[in-house]
Amino acid sequence: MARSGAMGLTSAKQERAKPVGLYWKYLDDAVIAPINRVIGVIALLNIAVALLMALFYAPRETTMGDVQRIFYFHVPSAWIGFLAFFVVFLASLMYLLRRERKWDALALSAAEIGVVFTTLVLLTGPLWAKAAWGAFWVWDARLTTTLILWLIYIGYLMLRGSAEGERRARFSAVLGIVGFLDVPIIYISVTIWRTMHPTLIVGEAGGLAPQMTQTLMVALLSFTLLFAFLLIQRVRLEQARDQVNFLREAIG
Amino acid sequence: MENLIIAYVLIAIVLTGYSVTLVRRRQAVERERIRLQAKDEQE
Repeated sequence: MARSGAMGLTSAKQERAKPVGLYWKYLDDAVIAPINRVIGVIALLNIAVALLMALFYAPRETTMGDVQRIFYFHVPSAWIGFLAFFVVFLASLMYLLRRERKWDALALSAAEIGVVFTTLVLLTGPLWAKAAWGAFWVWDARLTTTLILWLIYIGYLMLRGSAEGERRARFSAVLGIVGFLDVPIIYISVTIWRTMHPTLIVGEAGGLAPQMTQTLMVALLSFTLLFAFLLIQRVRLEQARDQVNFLREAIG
Repeated sequence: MENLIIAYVLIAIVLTGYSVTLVRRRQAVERERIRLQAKDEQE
């Protein structure tokens, strides 16, 4: 049987369905798979170093003791959550401007990862709070706005399961953009409202010790690399799904 | 100290769980692709 073009499908069948190529030319498995493997390995090694630094290099905090070490992965989780939702915001804007499926796929991928990391924030924060404040949860401005952010993007993922096709992408893009407005509110919540949540002070008297800052930076880098790895994997998954849907449609 | 251990274990479980889920979803897509291509060839 004569084969041509995408996914080895017969040419007559290809004509019946709109072919799905690569979202971006660098997303060819032959190119991106080895690069992403390297990113993944570096991220893992970096996380191991960050863990060792958090446990043995960073000094014990005098007031809170060892439970303060939660901070070295709590803050990077929050950073990745915000970064992921910023990607959702940008990709959603691009989708509304260009109506290209690749931007919708990128927004979905980043939203899913953002929810995972925000879940980590909401799991690790209360464990620290119990030791520091004596309660797992208080309706503090930063905690509440972070919970709202998590709920917005849980809603975003649920919306994607309810609507279909172009309508789904359009509605999701609008929610992805509007939902991101909560991120700057979370950031400034500790300054505009009276809040119990600590603020990060680096390089000033009474701020973090240099070893603490270095540990935090390594943890931030390791989670950023992990985010890059997961995002590439997730977008490749979405691309492969589209290609399979194309095959299904073509075969009938 | 227990809270610290619980936090680190939870982080490990969530991140490993999500990574494993991604791999499994990818494998499912690949299996479906192979099945469809085989069906196409039979026809």
